[in-house]
Amino acid sequence: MIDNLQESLTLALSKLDEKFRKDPESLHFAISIVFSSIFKKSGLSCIIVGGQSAAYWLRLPGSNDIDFVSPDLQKIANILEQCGFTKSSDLSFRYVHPTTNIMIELVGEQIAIADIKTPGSVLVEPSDIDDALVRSLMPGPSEVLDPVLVFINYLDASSHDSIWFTFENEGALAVERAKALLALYKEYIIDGLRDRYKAGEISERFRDLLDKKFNIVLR
Amino acid sequence: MKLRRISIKKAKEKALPILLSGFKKRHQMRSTVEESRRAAEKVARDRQSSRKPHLSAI
Repeated sequence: MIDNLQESLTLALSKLDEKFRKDPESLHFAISIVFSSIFKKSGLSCIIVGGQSAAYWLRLPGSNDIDFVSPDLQKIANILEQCGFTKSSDLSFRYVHPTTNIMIELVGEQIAIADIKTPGSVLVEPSDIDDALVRSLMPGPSEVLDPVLVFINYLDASSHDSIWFTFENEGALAVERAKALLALYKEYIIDGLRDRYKAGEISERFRDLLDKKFNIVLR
Repeated sequence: MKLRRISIKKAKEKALPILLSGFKKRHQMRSTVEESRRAAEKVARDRQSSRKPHLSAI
């Protein structure tokens, strides 16, 4: 356990806010990487999911909130409150920092995407990070959702029977993120999809969608 | 297969144009349907500070 977890988080928050204040999306992205690393070093699992995981793999920040998955949710919630984050009045899992306006959502105790039964995450070493300040504030690796799962998470939006059906006229960010991930990590994602299909974790609906929308045939 | 995070150069060439194209069509990051599924508090934050898709040097 880091000797002073609260102090490390507060210091990181202050330094990153100072550097990225004019770019809230980059600020949220940087905080997600550094907080995950600090929590992990202190023995608390903290996996970056949602928009910040896409931001990491795409190198394109685009969210003003951070989603963490952790089996240690309550401990993390308590520490965030000690760092000055306030719990949202209507949702118990949403925390906002009043000065920096950072929003963190503790979205679950485990990764829950489609029919996936085997969670997948990747360790991000400080050496994987280009920004010197962010790297210097990481006491060890942070943990981010595997790009195959990030892709599957957004894949659903491509389906005509999904809740995003009416996106057709104007497109949807979720679909664009899926396409961009595939453009960058095609071989890795296809290998991962095939493994998960063989393991029975990809539904026939998703299999059809991959074929029709992305020309990926799973056998 | 070994996974390595893509370079900024490749992200600029392959990913950025996909997201920029959608942004130009919508004049905003998320579609109206996506926004309607999002918490009002988060939509307000997005509108206050969202920029067009841009590369991260992080």
